[in-house]
Amino acid sequence: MLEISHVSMAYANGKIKAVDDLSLTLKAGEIFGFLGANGAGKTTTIKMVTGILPIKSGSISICGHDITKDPIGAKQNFGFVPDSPIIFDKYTGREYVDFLGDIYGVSMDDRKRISADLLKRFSLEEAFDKRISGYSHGMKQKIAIIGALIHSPSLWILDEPMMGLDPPSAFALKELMKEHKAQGKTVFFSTHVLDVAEKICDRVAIISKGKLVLCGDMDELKRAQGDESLEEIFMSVAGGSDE
Amino acid sequence: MSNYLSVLKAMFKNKLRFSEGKSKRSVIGFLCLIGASYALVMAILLSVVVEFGRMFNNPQTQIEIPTMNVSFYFFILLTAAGIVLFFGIISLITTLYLSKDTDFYSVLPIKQSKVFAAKLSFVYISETVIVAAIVLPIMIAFGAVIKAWAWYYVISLLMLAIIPAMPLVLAAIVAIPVMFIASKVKHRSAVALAFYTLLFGGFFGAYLYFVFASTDSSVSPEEIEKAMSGALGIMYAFYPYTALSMSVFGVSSYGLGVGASTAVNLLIFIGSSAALLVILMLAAKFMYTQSVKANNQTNNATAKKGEFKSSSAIKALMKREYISSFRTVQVAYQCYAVMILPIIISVAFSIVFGNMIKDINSVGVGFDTRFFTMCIMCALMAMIATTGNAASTTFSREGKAISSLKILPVDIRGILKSKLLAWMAIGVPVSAIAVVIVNVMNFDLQLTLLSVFSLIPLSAVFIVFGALWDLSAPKLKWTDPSQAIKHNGHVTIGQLICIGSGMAVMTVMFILFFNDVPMNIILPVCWTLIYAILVIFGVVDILLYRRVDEYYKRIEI
Repeated sequence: MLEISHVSMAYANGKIKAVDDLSLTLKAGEIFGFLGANGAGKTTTIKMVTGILPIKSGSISICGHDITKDPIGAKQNFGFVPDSPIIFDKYTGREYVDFLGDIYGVSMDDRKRISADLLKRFSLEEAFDKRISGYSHGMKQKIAIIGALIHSPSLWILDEPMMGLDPPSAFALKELMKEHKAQGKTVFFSTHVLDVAEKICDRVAIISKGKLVLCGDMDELKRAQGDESLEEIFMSVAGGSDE
Repeated sequence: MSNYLSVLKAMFKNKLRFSEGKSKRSVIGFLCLIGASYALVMAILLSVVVEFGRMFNNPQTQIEIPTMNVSFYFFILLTAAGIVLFFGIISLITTLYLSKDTDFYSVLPIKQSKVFAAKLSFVYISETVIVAAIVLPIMIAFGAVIKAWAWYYVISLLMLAIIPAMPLVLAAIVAIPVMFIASKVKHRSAVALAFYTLLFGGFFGAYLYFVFASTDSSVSPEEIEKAMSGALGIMYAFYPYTALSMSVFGVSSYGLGVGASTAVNLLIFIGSSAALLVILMLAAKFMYTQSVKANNQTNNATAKKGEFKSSSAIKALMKREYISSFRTVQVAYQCYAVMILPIIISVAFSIVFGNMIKDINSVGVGFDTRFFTMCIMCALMAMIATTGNAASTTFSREGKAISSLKILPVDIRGILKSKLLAWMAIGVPVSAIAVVIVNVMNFDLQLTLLSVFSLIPLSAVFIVFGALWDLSAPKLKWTDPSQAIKHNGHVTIGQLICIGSGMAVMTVMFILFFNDVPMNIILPVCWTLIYAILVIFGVVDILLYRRVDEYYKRIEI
């Protein structure tokens, strides 16, 4: 589903390595948690996966499409929810979803069906025809989630998705992730909320200073680390800030 | 430092500072461009003033000099009022009503009255600076030409700060209903845009007509005197300016001597300006209070239920381009309202030159009218840049949202295509309308064919040039979308290139014409030049287009 192979990214003329020889493989039908302290390289990795940042070395492929060689094919297969929902705030929620529907070639029936379901789950029906500029951070996050799922992507990428969500919406999001997985699709998300990752992820990867320090099945990891909680595991391998 | 001064200082810093990360070179380059544009405008204005001054003081013209000097000085003040009125309305609305910092200041431990006072001072000082920059050199030049006394300069300088009072009151009076209408309707920017366009078009058109009609060399001094006396109505309407004009020239009035009437006139000007300032403060206070009130109200109104509308990816991106530019008032103004300029130029110049040709032909001079038509074409060519303003900032206006574009399954060529189509769909028809107007009003088959097949494509290649150039180095770091346009070299340089091209062709034409080269030779030379410019733009477009992938890839947020 998602193949990250020996990817590196450096800033300041190579002096600062944001991502260092990172390799990951995500299978179909799993929820994958991407963990790391602030500045560990999570967002940079996600930006490379989504094509926002060009890849300087290594390769990334999504559903068999290389993000550098076939960016359009790769982008057709994922939906992305950024950490700070920088979406088109002059649009109404409906116009935004409609725009993405046009871009991904989603049929009118699917647009109506998918958006109606998601709006109900996130209690966003009333705000849907209002301008996004008037939305709260949480509401922006919700409309970004709806937009990312409007084309039913095989891979759903989320960067810190729980930020700003109220408890019912956070619950709805976790349920959506599980449903996505149940459909044989993949969820790849970064988070600082280790409890959430522990509860819903099938596998997690922990990066520190751009390097992958741990990756595996939740149960495997716990067994290997002496049945510790994810928080304890995290603190032992990547404790402290990477900033 | 008092809170009032701190807020005022913050506002000026915010307005004048360049974006972080701008190199010293680019700042200097930008300032040079601004300086060059200013020098160009001033050169035109000063030449008009000098011509008038000479005409008034030419003993052969037999004009009553003091009357003409007072009238002309009054018209300089009126020009200042027009400038302040035009910029003042926009400034008052954006600073006091549509300001984005209202929330920010309301949480600070500063009295609202002090914030208001700082904001009003900001508007007033900004307008005074604009007046000083444009009107003061004109006043000095006029004074020098007519050999005015020292008194003229002293009073002109001292009264400069009071001149904006009257137009700013008018601006507030106009801005209040606009603000009310805008607050009541769904599409605020549409109201503001329509208003700005009318204001801009009306002001610019009237000004052009006035300047060119009154600089018409075929008009006799008697006719000018008649026209000036016909303008007495305006002089009564703006009596404080008339009073100031009379006082700088020491004109006797009200049956008093020179000294007494000068003092009375000065008192009238200062007194009425003080009264107007009080009115301005009340009006501005009202606008600011409304803004604070509107900010404190939560928008709980239920929105009308919309419908999904399907379209292709390119059309969806085009729609997005229009929506995002149209729904921010300042951006909409910069993108759309300025496009009216080529049309105004074509109408105003055609009328003015048409009258001129009529006058010349009436005395039996066999003047080749194609000369004037070519002048209009060159002016139009210079103004075609305005149709590309929106395209030259199309990537800069994306700001951080450019990352949202990058994750879409549409490549840069598709995105570029949508942006170009969006702006060509408006810019090219605008140029076409302007060209058609000129040709209808000054028909000549050869010129019609040449202009249709050169100026309209020129507008298209210029739009492409603007968008590609912006893509090569977009200004993405901003907090307010209007900052993507302000201080954006792509707009200024683009405009200067167009103005320069138009002026270059016009200069060649003038040189040839005044060296008695027949129009049958001048026209092919000029059109060859225009086509050469078109080809150069086309080649540059192709070269830039070849590198779009590289440009897009290197954009990082």
